[in-house]
Amino acid sequence: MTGEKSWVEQQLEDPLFRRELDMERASFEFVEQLDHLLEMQNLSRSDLARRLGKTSAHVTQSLRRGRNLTIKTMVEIADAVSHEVHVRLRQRAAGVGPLFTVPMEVTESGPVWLESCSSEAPAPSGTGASWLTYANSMVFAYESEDTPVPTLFDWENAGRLAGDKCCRKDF
Amino acid sequence: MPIFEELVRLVHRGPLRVIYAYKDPNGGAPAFEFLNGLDAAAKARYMLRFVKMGNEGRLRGTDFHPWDDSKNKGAKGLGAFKDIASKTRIPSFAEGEQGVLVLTHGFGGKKEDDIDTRQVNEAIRIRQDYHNRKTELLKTHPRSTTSACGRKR
Repeated sequence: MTGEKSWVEQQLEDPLFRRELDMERASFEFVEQLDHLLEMQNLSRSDLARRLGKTSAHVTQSLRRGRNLTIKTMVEIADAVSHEVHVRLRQRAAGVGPLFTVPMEVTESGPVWLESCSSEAPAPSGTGASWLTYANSMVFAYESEDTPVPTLFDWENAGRLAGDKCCRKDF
Repeated sequence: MPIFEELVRLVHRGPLRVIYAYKDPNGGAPAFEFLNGLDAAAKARYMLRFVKMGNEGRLRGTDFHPWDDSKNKGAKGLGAFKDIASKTRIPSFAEGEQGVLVLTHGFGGKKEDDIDTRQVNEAIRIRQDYHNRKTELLKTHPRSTTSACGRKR
């Protein structure tokens, strides 16, 4: 496709829409991160409801897309899975920006936000990299030890983040 | 002109998936028209789903419902982006080229995953029309150089 702006790019030209997107994204990211944590901890939403002393229907309603989650609700839910809520400001990106769909991880060198790959920074082609993240770090996931490490960036100081699946470069 | 410009309009290009909207023979894109008619909040939620699908290649069951033949004959291979808050759905199909999804149209009025047969049939019709026109265009433009995901052949 030559030159045509995508539907997403067209919508982002409207500053009022961007604010609406920011609100929906905050709630979307919280629920995505929570579901990720529940999977990691082998918990269902019913288990979460029991921990909160609420009904499953209440939890389902609270976490439904489009709900305006309060900070109090988010803190209570995060606490039930032994996590804290942190709010971070980020300079607006030209495009849609990153989506934080997995929780922050704490590594030896400090906290790292794992975020979805953005189309603004595609994974180097031919590397086998399937996703990347950038915040404090740039992370490429690749298939195995045998997969060539991307040469597009300086990997001299790259460190292991999650076993053999990821490679990290601070910047 | 690359043939895919006659068949689709770009919705979002992610590293793992590219999402297009089907373009009818008159140049209209039913999914675009549907999306542009939604309120800003619903539009934003769909955008986040498209971006996540583009980034990660998949969505949770709360956001995407794969259809099958058990309830609606011929629906296998179709799946719908769904927004429970606005009670709307946007069906899609895999183009055939790796990582490429095509949105067919959009509809509202349904709360659960039990989809109106007329909407399933409309998505099936659009998918068939897309493939028929693509086949015809490939006959008349055998040297088309751009693939569905924008890569040079």
